[in-house]
Amino acid sequence: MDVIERIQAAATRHGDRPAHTYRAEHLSYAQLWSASTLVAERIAGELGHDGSPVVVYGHKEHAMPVAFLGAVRAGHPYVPVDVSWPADRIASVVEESGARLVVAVRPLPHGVTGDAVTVLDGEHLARGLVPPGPLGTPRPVAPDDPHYVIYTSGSTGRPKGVQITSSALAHFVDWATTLADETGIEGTPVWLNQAPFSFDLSVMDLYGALTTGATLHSLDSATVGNARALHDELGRSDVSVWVSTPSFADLCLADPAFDATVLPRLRVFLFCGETLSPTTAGALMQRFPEARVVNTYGPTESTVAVTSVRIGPEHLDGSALPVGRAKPGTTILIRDEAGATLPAGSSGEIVIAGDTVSVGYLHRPDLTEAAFTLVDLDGVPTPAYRTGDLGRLDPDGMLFFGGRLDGQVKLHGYRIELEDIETNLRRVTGVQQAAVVAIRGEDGVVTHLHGFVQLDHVPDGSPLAVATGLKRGLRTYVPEYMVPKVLTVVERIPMTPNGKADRRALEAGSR
Amino acid sequence: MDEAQEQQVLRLLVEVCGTDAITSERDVDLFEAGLLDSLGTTQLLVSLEDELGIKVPPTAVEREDISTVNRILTFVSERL
Repeated sequence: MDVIERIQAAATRHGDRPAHTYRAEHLSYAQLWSASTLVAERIAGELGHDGSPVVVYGHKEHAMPVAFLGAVRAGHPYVPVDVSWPADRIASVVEESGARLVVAVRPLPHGVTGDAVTVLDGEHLARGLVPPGPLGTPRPVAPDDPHYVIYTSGSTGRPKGVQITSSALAHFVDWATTLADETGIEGTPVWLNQAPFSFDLSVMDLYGALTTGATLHSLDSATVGNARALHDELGRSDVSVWVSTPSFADLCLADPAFDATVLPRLRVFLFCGETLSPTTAGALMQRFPEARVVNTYGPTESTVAVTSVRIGPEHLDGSALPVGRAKPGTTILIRDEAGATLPAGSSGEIVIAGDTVSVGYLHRPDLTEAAFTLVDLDGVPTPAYRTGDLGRLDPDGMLFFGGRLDGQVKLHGYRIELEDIETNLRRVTGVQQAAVVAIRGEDGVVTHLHGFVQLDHVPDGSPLAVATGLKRGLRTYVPEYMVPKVLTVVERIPMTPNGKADRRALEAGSR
Repeated sequence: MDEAQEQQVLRLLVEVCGTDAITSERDVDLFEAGLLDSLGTTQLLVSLEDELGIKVPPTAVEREDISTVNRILTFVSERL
């Protein structure tokens, strides 16, 4: 069964059950299914069956999953875009994706769509209110067609859209749901959604919950930013399956009252998106003795995650936790620069082969060609993705992550190309040259970004006032998580002999 | 709060905010300047507890009380 059939089965069996909880309001499975039917008919009427992507803009509203399902059930992949994105980035994603329809669950900023794009008011979709217009007969996406397209940071300053097919998603969901199943939760499980839907970590909780008849509890970004509101909301959530970045767990752990008394039904923590530290894992194991702590690893290009391991006391001694063993259907290879597969114990590039590998970047054959390949597994050519991540495998197949081959960094789970920020900094008025470095803590995890800019004039104002002004300019081009925490104006960006920004010299001067 | 304690708090703040520019601009709103956020706030509270023994749960802090360096220094001196 594909994921849509599974959600339909859940809706048939548990129509009254809450499918989605947001701001203390529930959307039942019956409502989710019937509202998404109307959306699918409306989208089919608007776009026919051309398979063009549908941009869905909003945050965590009930209408978001309704619109996602509506698009897919009409035969169109959806492109989730979060309200935290600046107008410039939304406009470039609408254009790059070739979308002809945007479902605006929140009001769209002005000027982000051209004349050829229809904007459908999606505010009341969850109540079955679809703006009037032509209706059509929906025809759901085929297994080999894209189910969603998620945009990630690209090194040229243009985001790139990763296409995940319905069949890849089904293989991923098959496996991800077993990670929760094994824990024997009593009653209807509640999955925590922390990440915005535009970040592929959310695919784990969204489909983990909806394909199994569980409830998805979505946190609003405003709640995440307020310690007291977060504590209260978690206490009311009754979450049993926790899905988040490790940074979010650190944020919660800073509250001494965050423990099993707040979430008595919590049985498993599923982590993805960035390095999980032994300190975080150890603290969770101590405060939630009945819950498993599971580390996972995988890039957006191979559908959220492809390895997992339950962290035990025996893992906490080392400096780095393992990221796990490959799921069924996935093979992990470690290769050298020439593309030769290395034996266990050697460090090299992590290459992921198998049934959840993306079919490539939307409308970008150049980038697809560079990162995707076929590898021979026992005589079978298998789609594979070259991650650009370094790692090594133990003889028993346990993977350890060892950093990046290029300028990509992970900050609080977000994947960021430093060159993407630099390109956009240069677009800010007055900026001549820019370089961004990632600052790491003692454990090697990135704590924040530090940007250096060279201006075409003598800055007017104190250093912090100038930095705040530059940040404001940068925010019109990139999402908040890509705005360097510290910005320093320098007279000249130091260069290496071959004309690149000298990152080492900049890192040395980052204090 | 004595001089040594003030220096200690400033050092923790430089660590959390990532820049020593904050020590010479003590009335700048750190949240508006993008130098302090909820994660930074919790890091700061954890460090204050570890190093100065000041125990304040993050749920008991109003953003306005700790929005500038000077306000944070007052906040700390009131709790020493």
